[in-house]
Amino acid sequence: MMKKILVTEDLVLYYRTSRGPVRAVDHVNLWVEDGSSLAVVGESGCGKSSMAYAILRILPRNVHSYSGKIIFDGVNLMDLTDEEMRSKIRWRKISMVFQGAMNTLNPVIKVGDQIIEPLLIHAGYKKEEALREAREAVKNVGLPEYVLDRYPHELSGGMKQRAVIAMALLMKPRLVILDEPTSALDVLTQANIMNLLKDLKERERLSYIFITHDLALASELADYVAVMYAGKIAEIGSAETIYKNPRHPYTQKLIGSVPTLRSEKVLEFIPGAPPDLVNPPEGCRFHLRCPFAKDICKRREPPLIKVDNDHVACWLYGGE
Amino acid sequence: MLALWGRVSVEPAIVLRVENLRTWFPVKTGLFKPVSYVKAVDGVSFSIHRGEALAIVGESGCGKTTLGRTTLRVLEPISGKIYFHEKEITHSREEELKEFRRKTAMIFQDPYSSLNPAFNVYRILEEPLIINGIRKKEERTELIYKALEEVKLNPVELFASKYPHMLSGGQRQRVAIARALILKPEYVVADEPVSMLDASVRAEILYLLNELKNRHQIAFMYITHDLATAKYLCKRTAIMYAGKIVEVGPTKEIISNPRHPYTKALIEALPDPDPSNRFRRIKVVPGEPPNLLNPPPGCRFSPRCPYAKDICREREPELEEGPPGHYTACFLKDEI
Repeated sequence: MMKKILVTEDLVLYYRTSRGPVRAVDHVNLWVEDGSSLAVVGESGCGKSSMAYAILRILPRNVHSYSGKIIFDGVNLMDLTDEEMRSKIRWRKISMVFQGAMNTLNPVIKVGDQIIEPLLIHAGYKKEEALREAREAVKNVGLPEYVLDRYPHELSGGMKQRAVIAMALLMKPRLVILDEPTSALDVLTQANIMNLLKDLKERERLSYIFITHDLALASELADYVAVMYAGKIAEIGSAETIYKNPRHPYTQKLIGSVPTLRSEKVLEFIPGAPPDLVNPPEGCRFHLRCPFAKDICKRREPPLIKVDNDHVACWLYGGE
Repeated sequence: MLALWGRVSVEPAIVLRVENLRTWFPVKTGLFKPVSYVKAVDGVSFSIHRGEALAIVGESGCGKTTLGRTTLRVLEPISGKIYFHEKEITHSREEELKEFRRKTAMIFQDPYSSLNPAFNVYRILEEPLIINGIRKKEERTELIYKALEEVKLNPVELFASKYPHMLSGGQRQRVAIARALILKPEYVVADEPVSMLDASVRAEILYLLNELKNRHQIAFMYITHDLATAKYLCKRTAIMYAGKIVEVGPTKEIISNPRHPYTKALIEALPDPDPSNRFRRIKVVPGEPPNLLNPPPGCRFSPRCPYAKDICREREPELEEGPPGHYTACFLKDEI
């Protein structure tokens, strides 16, 4: 059994709104094995990005509650102060490639000066040293050195995305959170970036949390898959289980809804819409859309139970 | 001869036909410099029959949206011809396009920004009816309820009274579809109608579009970057690259037997959900699509093409038929 580099226990992140707390991350238990990648998949609004922010403690002002355990390499991150999170964990141990990150580069600052920012701020490097590191870092992601002297508008989308990935890897983190890292890119550029991420994982022995709504794309990287629905983990298991023998009715339907190029199948869809996270239904949050819902599903929330080597939160598989 | 005659007799009428269409956007690069052009659509020809859906597949910036808008005469082409039911409308003035406007419609990508947030669904659907002179209120109400029923927003009275913010993404797109179809158009352009929707509702909208297309025998242009969804809606697909159609034919043929190197690369890059994908390296072509201000000479894919020869850099390949109905613009299509 491999070592787990990250484990969350009962992770909670609720946002305060005028209508009441939004339960974006609601008692989430997941784990990442060292050197492997966990894809977190789910539809928009299921809480997958919030979960990433909760792990890194990048929180907005309107937090209602934030609790649980985040154990990284044996240390509960919840016990650290904000200053310790900033100076010891973020970028150094866990870094993140944000959604649409390539469009967040400052247009009036050279790419190189932006890439080295974490080194200057978090590690106290001098500018020359930092630039030396940055030259290595951009080579590592397949970019020519001259991009450091360019402004963002002089680079293509794919090049900017590579620069942002170089920045995330600059301080040699162990775990990288990728939040829809290719969502604004073309199909061919996306394929290029996926190849790069595969190479880097092997070369640098990285672990990934890969957040995406695209199940087909997730399979390019995922050793394990966690399926989120309405702020909770519905199922977590090996990629083989999730894609070939999904257990949770939601996962089954979701896999069935992905159009495939190379095989013929009738596409499935799930009638209805995900619940409002201010006022989620009692019992299993999927029961209103679930074709197999039983009486207990309407009354009690299913716990995440172990079935073979995988975990599923569904009353169809016992757990009482 | 008999066989040919038989084929012609069953072929439904052509609704829209374009010939060698060019839509260029003028760009001023300097005060005294000559105007140059972004050649977004550069020599495109095709036709769409009654009840047929044609997919236009390509990456962002390939000109597919410009092409769709030009066929609706939202944009005016710089050269080429557009025929609607064999009547030329390429440069018709707005007054002459009234009937054309009523018989055509567009469905947009983003149902969050294409619906007026200050109007309720009833008012959104009433707008095209008022513009097209349906004076009687009862008649409008009847048409609105019927349209909502067609897109399965039941109970119709309830949905008619809702505002866009009260609806989910899938429901909003249904309203947008109802609005597009309420005047019984004969030609509809749908520009990425499902790309903003979640996976679990995407298929539902695709099926709905297919059903309505068949029921009303609409000529349909489906613009997308996603060949996998095109397969579910369109029997025929055109692949666009840098302002040109590089390959067109039966969708299944194109997917199983792509003949253009760009189509091959595109299909290779599109993953199916399969856990063994993580062990493969995707074969990718290097580089980026060309700048359409100044596209490369010869075949526009030649700078990225792994097979390119001298002829590819010198002359532009034309679409030529290989297997029946399957056209490819590549000098090397029979060799690779």
